[in-house]
Amino acid sequence: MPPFCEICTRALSTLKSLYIKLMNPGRHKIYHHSVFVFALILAVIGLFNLYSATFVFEAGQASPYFAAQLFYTLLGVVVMFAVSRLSLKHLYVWSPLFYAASLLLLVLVLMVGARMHGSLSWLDLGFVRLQPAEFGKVGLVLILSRYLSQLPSEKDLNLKTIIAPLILFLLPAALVIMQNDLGSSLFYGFIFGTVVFVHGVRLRLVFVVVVLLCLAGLLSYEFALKPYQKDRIVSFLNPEHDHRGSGYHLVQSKIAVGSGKIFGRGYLKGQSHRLKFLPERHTDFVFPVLLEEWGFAGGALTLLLYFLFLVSGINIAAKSETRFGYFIAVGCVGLFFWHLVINLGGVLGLIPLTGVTLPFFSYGGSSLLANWLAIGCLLSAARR
Amino acid sequence: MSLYHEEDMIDLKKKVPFIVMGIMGLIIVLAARLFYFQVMQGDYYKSLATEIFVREEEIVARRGNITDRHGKIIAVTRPYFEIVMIPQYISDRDRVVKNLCRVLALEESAVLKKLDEARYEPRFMPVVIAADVDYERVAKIKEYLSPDYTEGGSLDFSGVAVRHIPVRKYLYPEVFAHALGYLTEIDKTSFKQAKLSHPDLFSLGDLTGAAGVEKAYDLWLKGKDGVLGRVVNARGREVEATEDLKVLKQQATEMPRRGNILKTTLDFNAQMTAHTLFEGKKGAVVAIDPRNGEVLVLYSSPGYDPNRITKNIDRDYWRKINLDEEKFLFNRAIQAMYPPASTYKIVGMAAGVDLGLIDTEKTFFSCGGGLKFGNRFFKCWKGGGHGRVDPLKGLAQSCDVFFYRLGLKLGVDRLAQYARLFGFASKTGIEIPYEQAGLIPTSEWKEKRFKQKWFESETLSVAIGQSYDLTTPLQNAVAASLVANGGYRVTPHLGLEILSPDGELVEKIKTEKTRTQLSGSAALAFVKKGMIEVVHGVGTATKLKNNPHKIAGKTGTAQVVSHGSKGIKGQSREAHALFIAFAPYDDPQIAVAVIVEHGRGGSATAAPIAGAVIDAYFDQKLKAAKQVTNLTVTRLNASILRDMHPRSVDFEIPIH
Repeated sequence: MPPFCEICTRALSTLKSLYIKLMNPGRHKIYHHSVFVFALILAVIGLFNLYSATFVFEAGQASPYFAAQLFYTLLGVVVMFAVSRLSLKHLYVWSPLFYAASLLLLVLVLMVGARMHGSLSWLDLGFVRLQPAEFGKVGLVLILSRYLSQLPSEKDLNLKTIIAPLILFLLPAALVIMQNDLGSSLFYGFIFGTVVFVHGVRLRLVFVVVVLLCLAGLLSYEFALKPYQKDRIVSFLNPEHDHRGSGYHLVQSKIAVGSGKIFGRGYLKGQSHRLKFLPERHTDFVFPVLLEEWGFAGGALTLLLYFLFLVSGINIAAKSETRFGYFIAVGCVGLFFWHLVINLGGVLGLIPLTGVTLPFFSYGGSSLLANWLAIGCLLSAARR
Repeated sequence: MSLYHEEDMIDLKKKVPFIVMGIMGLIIVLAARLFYFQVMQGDYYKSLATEIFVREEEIVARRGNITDRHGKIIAVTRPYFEIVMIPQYISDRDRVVKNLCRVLALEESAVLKKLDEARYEPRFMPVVIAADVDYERVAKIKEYLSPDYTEGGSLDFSGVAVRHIPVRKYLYPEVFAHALGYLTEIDKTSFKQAKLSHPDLFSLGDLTGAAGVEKAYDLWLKGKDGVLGRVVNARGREVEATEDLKVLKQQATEMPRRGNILKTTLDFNAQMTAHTLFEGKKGAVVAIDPRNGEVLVLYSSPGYDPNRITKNIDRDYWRKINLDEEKFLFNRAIQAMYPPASTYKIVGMAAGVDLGLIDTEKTFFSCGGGLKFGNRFFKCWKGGGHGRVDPLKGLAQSCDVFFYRLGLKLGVDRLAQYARLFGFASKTGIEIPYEQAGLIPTSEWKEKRFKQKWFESETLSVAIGQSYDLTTPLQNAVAASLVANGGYRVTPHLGLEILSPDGELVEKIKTEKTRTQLSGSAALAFVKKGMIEVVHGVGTATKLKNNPHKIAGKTGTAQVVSHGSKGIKGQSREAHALFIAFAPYDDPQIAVAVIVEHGRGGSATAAPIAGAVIDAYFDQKLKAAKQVTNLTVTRLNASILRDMHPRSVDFEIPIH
C-alpha cells in the first residue's frame, strides 16, 4: 500500500531529523550513537520481558506495572536527551549540587520515608514515589569524577588524597545502610572502588581500606544488620541453613532458569512466574523470566547486547579529552556493569542475593530514571 | 579551569583495554553459568519444573488432653491410620487393588465397591479403603511405598497412600460424656464464623467440639494444623529428594502446633462414684465448690460413648442415641428442667425470714395433714399432719402446710424475686453450651403466657416447688452453694487451668462470685441451720447422719405430671427424687444437687448418692493431701541430712 509506505517513510525521516537535532551530531562521533542505540534495544527487550513477567493470566491482561515502566522509560529518554545537551562544564559545575541534593533526599527518607519490604527507602511525594538511593549512585559518580579529575595525573592515591573520596562515598553509603538497604550501600562501594582503581591507588592503601571495610562489615553484621539481611548472607554461604527464605527463592530461580534449556519455553509461556513460584519476579528475579522463556540463546544474546552497550560506554572514556569526562564515562559504565553482575550473580547463585535491580529489566521508576540520567551523562561526556 | 588536562590523559587511556577485558571476563563468567544451568543441567531442571510436584499434605494437630482437677487424664489423642487410594494416581486399578488386598488381607470385591462408589468424586480425592488400621499393616504398606521400591508388577502400589489422623479417645466414655462432650466435623456456618475470627486456624472437615468442654475450650484444645511437603512424581509417588528439592520440601512444610491441655475442675473419684451409683437409673448429679464455683461433678445418666461418634462414626449407634426416647445426648445436668419440689422450700424460708413475715422463734403454723383453700384441699405429704410446726421444724420435716401458708403471705411475685437471688430462672453462666434457664412463674409471666390472672391457689403449689416451677440440677447446686457460702452466687465453671503441651501453666480460668442481697443475712443463716437439721436433727434425711463430713441438705420429691395434659393429673408415674446438700457444715467445700428420675423419695434414693459423692470427693482430697505431705517430709528429711553433712560425698539419702 503506497500511502502507508509513504507515511512510514515520512515518519522515519521526521524521526531522523528530530534525532539529529536532539543529538546535535555535528558535535558527536558515531560511537556515541551506539551507546544510545544499545540502551534502547535493551530497554525494549526489558519492557517485553516485564510484560511477560507481570502478565496476569487470570485476567488475561498486562498488569499496571508494564504501563508504569513504559511511562518511566519514555520519561527517562527525555531526561537523557536533556542531560546529554549539557556540556561537560555544566556537569562539572553542577556535580556538587547534584551530590548534595541526593544526600539531602537520603536524609529526608530517613525522616519521612515510607517503609516497603523491610527497608525504609521510599520518599512519598504524593504523586510519585522516589527511591533516592538510586539517584545517589549517579551523584556519587559525578562528585568522585570531579574530585579525581582535579588531582595531578601519574600519581596514585595515597593516604592523604584518598580521605576525601572515602568520605564522599561513606556519607551516602551510611545513610543507605540506615535505611536497611544493604544492597545499595554495597553498591556504592563498588562504584567507589571502580573509580578509585581506574585512577590508580597504592596497593598497600587498598589493603588497609579493604581490611577496615571488612572489619566494619563484620561489626555491622553482628550489631546492625536485621535478621533477614543476615539470613540472606547465611543462606548464600550455607543453603541448607535457611529453610523458608532466600534459599527457596534461589532454588525456584534455578529451576526457572534451567528449565528454559537452549531455546526456552517461548514468550509468555514461562511456568514458574506464572504460577507465582518466582519471588519478586518483576524486580530482582526478572532475568530468570527471560531465561526461562528464551533459553540460553536469549540469555546469551542479551548478555552480548549488554557487553556491546558497556564497551560503547568505555569507548567514550577512551576517546575522552578530559579526565573529568573519562571518569564520568567509566563511572557510569561501572554503574551498569555492577548492576548487571550483582543482580545476575545473585539470581544465578554465584553471590548472595542483595536486592540490586537489573537496569532496563527490573521494574522501578527511580532506578529507570537514574539509569537514563547516567546515559545522559555518558553522552554529555562524549561531547567536545 | 582544571577541567582540561588534555596532556594528562595518557595514563588513563592505557587502562582502557584492561577495563574492557575485565568487563568481558565477568560477562563470560555469567554466560558460562547460564550455559551450565540451561544447557548442561537443563534436562534436570526441566524435569523438576514439569514432572516433579511438591504435594502439601495436612498434618492434623494433636488435640490437647483433658484431665481432672488432680491431673488424671480422662481424654487423650491417639493415632489413627487410614489406607486410602487416590484415583488420579492409580496406573492399573485391578492390579493395584489385587496387590493391596494381598498385603492387607482385604476382600477385593469390597475394595472395588468402595472405589466404584467414589467414581463421581473428583479424581484427586482420596478414597478410604481401610479405616483405623493397626501399626503392623501400616508398616507393611509404608515399606512398599518408600522411594527405593521399584514400581510395577506385583509391587505396583500407585495411588495408595497412608493417612495419619490423630483421633480423640475418651478413656471413661460413659462417665464423662456429658461434661466433656464430643467432636464433630465443623459445619459450614460455624466454619464461616471461625474463618472470620481465626483465619488460619480452621479448615473445612476439621473436627471441632460439639458439646461440653470440647466445645467451650475448642480454641485452646485445637492446636494448629501443619503442612507436610512431599516431593512426588506425576504418579504421586514420593521421589528421592535432591539438594534443590529438599529446599522446596522444607519450604512447603510447617510443623503443627499441639493443642493445650485442659485441666478441668472435675473430680475423677466423685464423678466415678456418681456413675457407679446411677447404674440403671436416669438423672443427674452436679457438685460445686461453693467457694469458687468449680464444678466437681457434672454427671448425667444415661451417658453415651463419644468414641463411637467422633471419627469413623457408628451410624446405628448414632441413630440410637439421637432418636431413642432415653435421650442419651440430653445433658440432664444443665438441660433438663425438673420441678425443684421441696428443695425449693429454702427459697420460701429465706424470703419469709428476710422480709420479716415470720419470726424464727415465735411464728408457728399448725399442720393437720393439709390445707383447705377455696374449695380445694391441698394435702401435706404427711397424711397425719405435723401438728404444731415452727420454722425450723417446717424446713427439717418439709411440712407442706407450713409453706402453703408462708407462700400465701409472700405472694408469687416476692417468692420469684427471691428465687432469682438464688440463681433460678436464669442461666448460671457455665461455659458449656446448651444450658437451660428453667422457669419461676410470676403473675406478669402468667398474664403474658396464658392471658390470665394469677390465682392465689396456684401460689400454694409454687411455694412447694411444684406446678410451673422448673429448675435444672446445675441451678439447684448453685442454690445450695449460695446457702453454703453465706449468700454469694457463684458462676459454675468446668475449666480450671490451661496448660501447654509440656505442662506449663498458660492460663488460669477466672472464677466469679456475685454478692447478693442475702449475703451475710440472718435469713440465710437460718436456712443453713434448717438444712443441718434435715440431716442431723429430726429431719427427712437423717440417713446421712453418720457420714463423717457433717452434711447439711434438703430433700425433695417431685410429682411427675405427664406433659401435654396441662397440669391435670394424667398418667403420673413414680415421682422424681431430689436432694441438695453441702458439706462440711462448718466449712462448706462441696455443694451437691442430685436428681434421680422416678426415684420416689429424695431421702431414699437421692440422699445416699449425694453422701457417697461427698465421701468420694473428700477421700480423693485426703489422698492427694497425704501424697503431698509424704513428699514434703521426704524432701525435708533429705535436705536436713544434706545440711548436716555438707561435705560428705558418699552419703546416701534414705529413700522412704
